[in-house]
Order: sequence, then structure tokens, then C-alpha cells
Amino acid sequence: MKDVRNPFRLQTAESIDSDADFLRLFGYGVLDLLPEDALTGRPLFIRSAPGGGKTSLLKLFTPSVLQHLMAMKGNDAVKELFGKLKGLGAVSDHDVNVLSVMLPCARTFPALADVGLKPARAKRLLLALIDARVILGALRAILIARGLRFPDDLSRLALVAPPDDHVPSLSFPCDGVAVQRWAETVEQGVADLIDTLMSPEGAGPPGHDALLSLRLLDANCIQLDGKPFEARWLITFDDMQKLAPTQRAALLEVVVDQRARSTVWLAERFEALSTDELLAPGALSGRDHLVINLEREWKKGRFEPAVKLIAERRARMAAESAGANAPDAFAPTIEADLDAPAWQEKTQTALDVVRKRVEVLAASKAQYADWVKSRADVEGTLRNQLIKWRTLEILIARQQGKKQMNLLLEPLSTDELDDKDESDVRAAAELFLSKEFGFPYYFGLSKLASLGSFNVEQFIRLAGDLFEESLAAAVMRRSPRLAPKRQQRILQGAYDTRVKDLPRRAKNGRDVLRFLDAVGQFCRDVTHQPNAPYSPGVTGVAILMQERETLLDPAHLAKSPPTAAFASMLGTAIAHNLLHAEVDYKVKGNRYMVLYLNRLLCPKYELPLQFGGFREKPLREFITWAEKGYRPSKSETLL
Amino acid sequence: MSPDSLRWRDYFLRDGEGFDEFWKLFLAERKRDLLFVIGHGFDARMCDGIERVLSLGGEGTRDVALIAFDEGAESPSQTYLAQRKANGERLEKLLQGRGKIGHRDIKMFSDGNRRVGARSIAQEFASSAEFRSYTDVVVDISALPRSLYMPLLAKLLALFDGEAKDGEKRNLHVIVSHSPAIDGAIVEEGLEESASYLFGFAAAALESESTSGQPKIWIPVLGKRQPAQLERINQFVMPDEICPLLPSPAQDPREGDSIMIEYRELLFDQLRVEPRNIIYAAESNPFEVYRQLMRSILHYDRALKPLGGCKVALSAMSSKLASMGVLLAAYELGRRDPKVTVGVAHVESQGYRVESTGTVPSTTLFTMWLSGECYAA
Repeated sequence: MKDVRNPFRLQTAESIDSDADFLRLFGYGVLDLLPEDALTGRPLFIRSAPGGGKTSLLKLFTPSVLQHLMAMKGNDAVKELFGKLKGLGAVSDHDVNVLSVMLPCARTFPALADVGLKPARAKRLLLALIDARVILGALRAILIARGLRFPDDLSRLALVAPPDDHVPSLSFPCDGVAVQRWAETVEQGVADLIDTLMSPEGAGPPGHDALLSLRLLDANCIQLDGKPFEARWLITFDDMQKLAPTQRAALLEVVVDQRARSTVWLAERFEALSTDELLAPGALSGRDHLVINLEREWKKGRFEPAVKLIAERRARMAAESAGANAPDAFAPTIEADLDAPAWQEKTQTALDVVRKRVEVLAASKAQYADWVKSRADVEGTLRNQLIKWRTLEILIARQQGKKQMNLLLEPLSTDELDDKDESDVRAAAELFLSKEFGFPYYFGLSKLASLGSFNVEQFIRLAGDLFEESLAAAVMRRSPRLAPKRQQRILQGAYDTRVKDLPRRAKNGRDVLRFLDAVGQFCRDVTHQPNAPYSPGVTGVAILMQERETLLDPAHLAKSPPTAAFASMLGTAIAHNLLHAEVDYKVKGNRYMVLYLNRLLCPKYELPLQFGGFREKPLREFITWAEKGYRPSKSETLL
Repeated sequence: MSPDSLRWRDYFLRDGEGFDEFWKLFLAERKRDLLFVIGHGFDARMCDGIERVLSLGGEGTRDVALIAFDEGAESPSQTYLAQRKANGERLEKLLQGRGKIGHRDIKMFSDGNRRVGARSIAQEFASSAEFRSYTDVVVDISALPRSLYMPLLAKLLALFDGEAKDGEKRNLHVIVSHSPAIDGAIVEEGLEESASYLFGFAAAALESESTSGQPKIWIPVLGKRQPAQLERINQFVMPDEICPLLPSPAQDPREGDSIMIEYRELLFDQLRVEPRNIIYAAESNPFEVYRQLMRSILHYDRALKPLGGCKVALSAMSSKLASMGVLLAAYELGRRDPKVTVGVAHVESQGYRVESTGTVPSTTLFTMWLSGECYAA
């Protein structure tokens, strides 16, 4: 293994060299998101934004990784992972129960769509190529599972004919070597067809009408040393969104029609503006498949513990690699205490200012007397008192803004104050204090997890930025603990490195950046009103689902270039995970598509990190924002 | 395999005054019918090459195949339509009374909105019959994007190599108006989400499952300000070994150091590149880049042969001159016997933005003779 100085820099499953390292770094929290029957037959769609952890999940089930897991099962680093996989039925105490073949869809398949073949021929070649790769992968999987060598031991495998099928250009029975040669020939034929500089007419192997490989696997047609090799097969397709639309439709149709016994997982990027077609009437019914949206599942309180575990595993690897030159745990490097002595003076000053302001405000209004008195008696740390006073200020602002004021102006009771003093108002108070007095807000492990925006890769990048600094401190023999202010500065800097150069990195990047800026400014305006009307704040916008349909309607887009440009821009923003889309969100009798800002943008616009606060707007207003930027309307400034 | 067996071991390259001297003598030697293949872009250097060649006299036809490529309504290049139009008018003036301009429109996107420009331009020149009336084909790559001129040149080389077997000796020249300052000011915008292998070289062959056990070597020819491209190509290629190629000697002696500093985190922290893997080649000599690439690739191929061989991905992220070295190496290795699987990994972009350079940068004309008379045995 090469020396890994900062293991947080190994962001993708592909960048991790060995299966053992992969297992040591794998955050098994994602397994909790899978349904119990994930391995028992029905096709399973796994959807997430890029970096959501789909590829890592698929890689976990590959034969070599599971074999490694069996070998390491006594090791503390993988004990819980082993238990979870056992719960899913992927492994038992003594054996691996599932054999998987992983097919990355980005490889070769999309290029096949560009050759210009007739649709029927293109589909047959697509299925032939998938068959060749699945069968080759299955042979490899069996040898790995039995501790044999690929390709040296291929001759111990044989393929017998399925009851009612034939495979073009392959004669049954045949041994593994012949099967490998056949698969190579099919692949080579398709490769030549794609790569040739001359006309591809008439070139290429004969195609297939169905996924013959699944039939062969279902019928246990592969033999090892003359005996049928019985296995529970899992075929996983990664990056399905890379296929051409016709290819994706063809593959889904075949997978559903064949109703294979083998389990098929289809991992794809969630694209809120195009994924619907998969679930259109006639394509697949709910009974035929399962869908897991990783972000939606993470939101159920599972993300933070999962990523904390990932961070600890990476920090431990750094310590194993660098010894005393690296911290051996991640959490202790992230200081999260604003009650520390270093903050007392600043907190006291802020408290004096806020308290005085509230007292002056309440002095002329007798109905707040009890509220103010109750705050004077509040106990706890200075910071707690400060937050309590700032919360009161927000609540008084709300009370004053009410249109139907109580004419009698009777004193408001402390019970009423307790009812109103909820966590969301306190969260808004914290945010306001950070803006007014310069307290850090974006620091600590929980906020770091929130900044991950339910995206594992994003979390690892941010945590890696912090860990880099801790590593440097450890090398200099200084404390690796990062002060809250320093954490905030590093995390704010992530916007500059990941978002600011969007025009270069993404299609329509300049337009995306303008729209994101408009949304960010709007959210800031709405959030930072004195009465915190949507506490803790607004971090997203929404359009009606009917308006979303217009963004998907080719006829409408052809008629309205501004709408087409907006749809294209929005597609890019969602594809790059800068906007987090939730479709079919029901509120006030309407259905909305909510577009939350990626949490990475929240520090730039001084926004809280909680999800839930959004404002709906007509599509035409968003189109104007995208074209001209955001201009606050009177109603927004006078909330 | 010895260096002697390299196709372009002996090469023909001239620049600056040498450019003028060569073309003057070459055109004066006898009547020559020239077809210029020129990209119709916004780059002010588009007509520099043809203007100079036309000014150097000689008899014979002087026609142009003008390549038009529309990168889409949302392309940032659309900002420079006026410059593009001016380039077209300049070309028309130059050709007045000298030759014809044939327009070739390249389809850049498929009906499914996938990028097909590389395949389209190769298909545009279907057979060598199109060139029968010309003794020389001169491709000016100054205003053509990499994703078009690399497959175009691969196709022309393949066509002319096929002709050579029948005894034909059509000359293929490449000219480019080179300026590191202008190249640095033209910035790619709107990169595609993921990289792909360029059509015209091994592409599907590199992704074959049956050879997935073979180690994959990636040689990126590095230039400045390409971190997103570098990252995306790495994610796409998933190499087992990385050998970055740096410019040295270069006009700026610290160019290589600057590049290393710019990509330090990616190359060393994330990709854990071995410093001993770094290759150096002269910045302004494409044949030197080609030679260094060939040496490294053939070395890997020889060393890994007992284990089943290797696959190689090249990437041109530097100047157009250096990218010619990539093109030549990938083309030759794909046609050797036994051939080496070499592809060119690349990230397409939506278009370009031109940053202000303050002053008017100087340009140098380069001419490369790739096939034809001078290589005839």
C-alpha cells in the first residue's frame, strides 16, 4: 500500500488501492438504508446525487471485497460491517452468500449509441455486450469466491446449455477458457465497430434479443469441476444515467420482462428533471421494483452518525500511517465550545448589548414586563443567557409585527413565552448573533455533517480540509485542535474552491452561479428579518409541480427559449448537486418541487444549515432571477 | 523495440523564419495543388498560416475546406461571433482569385444531445478520393478545438497511409500559429461532467472487460489551469500508474515547477504519483513529446508483456504543439504490429472565453510535415 498522508483525500471508491483499505474506510451506515429484501430478486434502483456513495455500495458486494471481509471478520475494524451484511443475507458465518457482477455503464455502452446503427441492431449489440461482460464477470466471481485464480483456473469451469436457449457463436457445453474467448471476441467486435475510422457498416458480432446471461445464471448453467455452481447472483449496473435514453429504456424493459431470479441493482444519479420517465406508466410498476433515494433516507437522522464513523475511520488510518505525526481521532480535533474562557469577554459584551436593547424596547411596553423579568433570572452559561436574550428579542419583534394587536395590551405571561421559545427560534438567535457580533457559527462536528448536505463525498472533502490543518499542526508538534473560528474560515473557503469556478467546470456554469446567487440572496433577505419569520431560516425555493412539468415538456420548451434556458441551467445545478431537489412535496393543498441550496452555499449567504425552510415562487420569477439576478421586492423587505 | 523503428524518428518541423524558407522553396520546386483544411473559429490566428503560405508564391490550386462547428446556443464562444465573422471575411479576401472555399458543417451533437463532433469530422472526409486533385493537404489547427483536429488528422493519416500502399504520395502538413500567451488567455468553459476517449484512437478497446486485468498507464501532458480536466480524466481512466509529462525545456524555465505546484495536492496527495514517473519533453517540439511518449509507452509495454501487457491513456492538456505529439504517438501505436492499446482521454467543453492579455502577444508559425514525399523510402 502506498503511504496515505491524508486519507480524507481518497474520496472515491475507485481511488482506494486495496480491498482491505476499502473495508477499513467503508462507512457501513449506508447499509441501514437498504431494504431487508434488497438481495431477494426485485430490481432495486439506487439513486443519489453524484458523490452520494452509490459506487462504494456496489463495490462492497463485489466478490473480492466480500472475500476480504470474510478473511478479516474477526478484526474489530470490520465486525459491525460483517454483522450488517449478515443481516442482509450477503454473508453467513462461514461463507459469502451472494456473488455479484458490477457493470459500469459509462464504459463503451454510451459510445455504441453514437455509431449511427439502426435502433434494432444497436439494441441487440447492447444486450450482447452486456451478456459478454456479465458472463465474464460471473466466471471471475466464481473463481474468486472459491479462492482460485483468474484466468489460470478457467478450465475448471464449464458452461452447459440452458434448457431453451442458445447463445450466438457459443457452442455448449464448453469450458471457461472457451467462454472467455467468446466474451473477448464479442467485446473486441463491438470495440472495433465503435473505434473504426472507416465505415462501420456490416461490422460487429451478431447481437442478442434478451439478456441471455441472466438466463444462464438463473439456470445454474455454470459448473465448477463438473458440478453445477449454485449461487445467489447480484448484477449491478453503475452510472445508469450515462446510457443513452434509448439504451436505458431497452435495458429496463429487458430486465423487467425477464423477471430474472438473479437480483439486479441499478444505480443512477437522481435527476429531478429527467428521471420521471423511468417510472412513467407502462415502464415499471411499484410491485416490480424498489427505489432507494439515498439523500431522502439519509435525512431520516442517519447521516450524521454515518459520516462521523467515516471520519473516525479515516483519521485512524492516518495515525496508523504517520504515527505521532497525525491525530488518532477526528472528533477531538474539532473544537465546538463557545463557552470556553476565550469567548467569555466577547460573550459578556454581546450580552450587555442585547440585554440593554431588549430592556429599552420593553421599557415603554408594559405587556413584555414579565418576559423581560423571566430572562433576568435565567441561569446557565453566559452563552446560554445571551441566546435566551436574543431569542426574546426575536419574539418581541414577532409580537409587535402582529397585525391584530391585543388592544388591551395585557402583560404577556411567561407561559406564553415558554410556548414560543422553541428550538428553531433559538437557532435563529444563534445565527443572528454570529452575524451581529462575529461569533463563529459553522464549526463543530454536527455542523460539519450538515455542511455535507447528505452527500458522503462532500462531507469527506470538507472534513479533509479541516484534517489537513490538524495534520500540519501535529507535524509541527502543536495542538491539532482547530478553534471554531479557524474551522469556519476553512469551511467558508470551500465555497471558493468548489463553487466559484463553476463557469469553467460546468455547462451553463455562469448562469447557474447567477441563479444560485439570486436564491442565496433571497434566502438571506427572508431569513435575516428582525422577527425571523421562518426560523431558523429559509434555505430553499419551490415551484409548483405543474410548473415543473413545463420544464420537462419539449413542445413548451421549443416555444419558450427563456424557459428552455432555465430548464437547462436548472438541470446542470441539480446534476452538480448545487441544488437539492425534492419532488412532490405537499404543502397547503399544493404539490411542489423544492430546491434547497447545497449546504456548502449557506455560509456564503449567512444561512442556517437546517432543511425545511423554503419559499414558493412562480416559475416566471425564477426565470427573471436567472436572467437578471435577484432584486428584492417590497413584500420581502417588509416581512 | 529500438528508437530506430519509430515512424517519426526523423521528422520535419520548421518555425518562424524556417517556416517561410521551407514553404517558399517547397512551392517554388514545382506546381503544387494545395487544399487547406481550416477551422472557422473566433481565434484571430485562424488565417495567419494560409496568409503566409499564399504570400510565398508558387503555382497551383489553393483551395480551402472550411470547417464550421456550432457548439450550441449556450456556448460562451457565441460571444465572439463578430470575430468569427471577421475571420471568415478575411479568408474570403485572401482566396479571391486564388481558389475556392468549400464549406463543411460538422454536426457536434447527436439527436440525443450527445457529443459526436469527433466522429462527425472523421466521417466528413469519407475517403481519399476527395483529395485526388491535390498534391498537398495542409491542416491548420490554429482555430480548431482538440476534439476535432485530433480525429481529423488521425483519419487523414489513415487515408493517406492506405493510399501510400498503392504508391500514392500525398503530402500531409499541419500548421499552427503558436503563442503560449494567447493559448493561456483562451480558457475552456463549461466542461462536460465526465471525460471520454477521443474517437479516432483506441476507445472501446481500452474499456474492455476481458482485458480489465491489464494495468492502465496514464500519461497526461500537463499544462497550466487544467485542474478540473485532470481530475475528471483521472476519474474516468482510473489508472494504475500515472506518468505526468512536463514541459522542459520551456520558454519559461520554471514552467514545470509552476505546474507541479498548481497540481501538488491532486497529483501527490490524492493520486500519489511517484516523482520518478515524471517525464520531460521540450515545450515547442511535438516530435520530442512524441518521442518521449513512445519511449515510455514501449518501455511499459515491454516490461508488462509477461503479465499480459498494458493499456495506455494519453491526455493533451497543454499547447496545440504538444498535443500533436500525443496524436502521433497514439496513432502510431494503434497501428503497430503487435499493436499497443492507446487512447486519448479528453474532457469536452461547451466553449471558450478569451481573457484580456493587455498587450498584443506575438505568434510564431510552425509547420509539421506528417506524411508524404519526405518520408518515402
